[in-house]
Amino acid sequence: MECDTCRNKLLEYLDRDLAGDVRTELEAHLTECAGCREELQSLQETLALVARMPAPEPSETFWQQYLRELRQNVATPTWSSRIRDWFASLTVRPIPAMATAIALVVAVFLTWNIFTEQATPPTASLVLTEQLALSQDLELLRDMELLEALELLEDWDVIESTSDRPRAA
Amino acid sequence: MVKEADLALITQLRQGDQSAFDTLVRQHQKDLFRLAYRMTRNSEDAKDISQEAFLRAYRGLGAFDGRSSLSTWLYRITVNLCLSHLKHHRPSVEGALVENTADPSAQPLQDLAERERLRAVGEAVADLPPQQQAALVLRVHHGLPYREIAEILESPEGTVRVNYFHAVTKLKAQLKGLRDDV
Repeated sequence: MECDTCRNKLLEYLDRDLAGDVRTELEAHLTECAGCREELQSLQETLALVARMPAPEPSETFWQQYLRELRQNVATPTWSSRIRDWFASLTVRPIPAMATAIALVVAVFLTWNIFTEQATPPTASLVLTEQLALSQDLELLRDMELLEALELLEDWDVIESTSDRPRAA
Repeated sequence: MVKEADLALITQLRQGDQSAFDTLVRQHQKDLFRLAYRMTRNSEDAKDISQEAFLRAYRGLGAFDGRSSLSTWLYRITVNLCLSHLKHHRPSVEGALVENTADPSAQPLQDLAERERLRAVGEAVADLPPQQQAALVLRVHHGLPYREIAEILESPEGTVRVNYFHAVTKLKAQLKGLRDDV
């Protein structure tokens, strides 16, 4: 047996988990190879150190209190378990739940349509019609020479404001 | 596979028998507490996690199908709670190995050098990836066979063996100085 093969099997050897013939072969290698014997010893010492890691040994009083607390928790369900139970109770009636959900979606859709129709701004064709009517009115005023007169008055105001002469009262 | 005695206990539990719950707790409390302690290195966390495991088992009895033993199922719930706990909390190694372990009659560690050695071992184990740590604790401290550890960790047996191998190999390298001191 090669050293690499032997070292890969040392943990299984310690676990007594090797088939008989492999075990015999490995033991034969160990008798000849000091390096692999040292590796085996390192593994044994490491596992012994880990096994010595302490854990608490609580008293009987501790365990009595432990059980008392557990009994109380079993008797009074937590909020999370209540919520879980409530949801669980919903899932046993899937058809009414589905029908309610569909009705809700339809109601939201219809309400949305009514509101959006009411809030729609004037369309482009309406704006165009209004502008056309306004331009016709302006043409009429121009025909009546009223616009020209107004423009003349504006020009007179400009002349007045730029003049250094005092404005007539 | 579930044992006859476990089946009887489960039947009693499902019928709401309070004494069956007490029996379940008394049978498994030490194993679950120690497992949680070795994963978290904190007595309070170990107590909370092991108690939570019993409550989840009790409330989830409907999910227990008897394909694994009751003890394997309880170990699985506890390990999952520990792994979830370790995602959010770094184990407090320093305090854990020297802390008062909730038992006033517990023997304090006399030898300072030994305490220091075990603290270093605890730190090295805490540095392992959680799956390797779980495989190591279940194998070394609980003496479980790989097949059962695989059931608990819901992993293939080959993966458990590899995780255990890597855990021991890493610890061997890290604890070389400590082994020389022994």
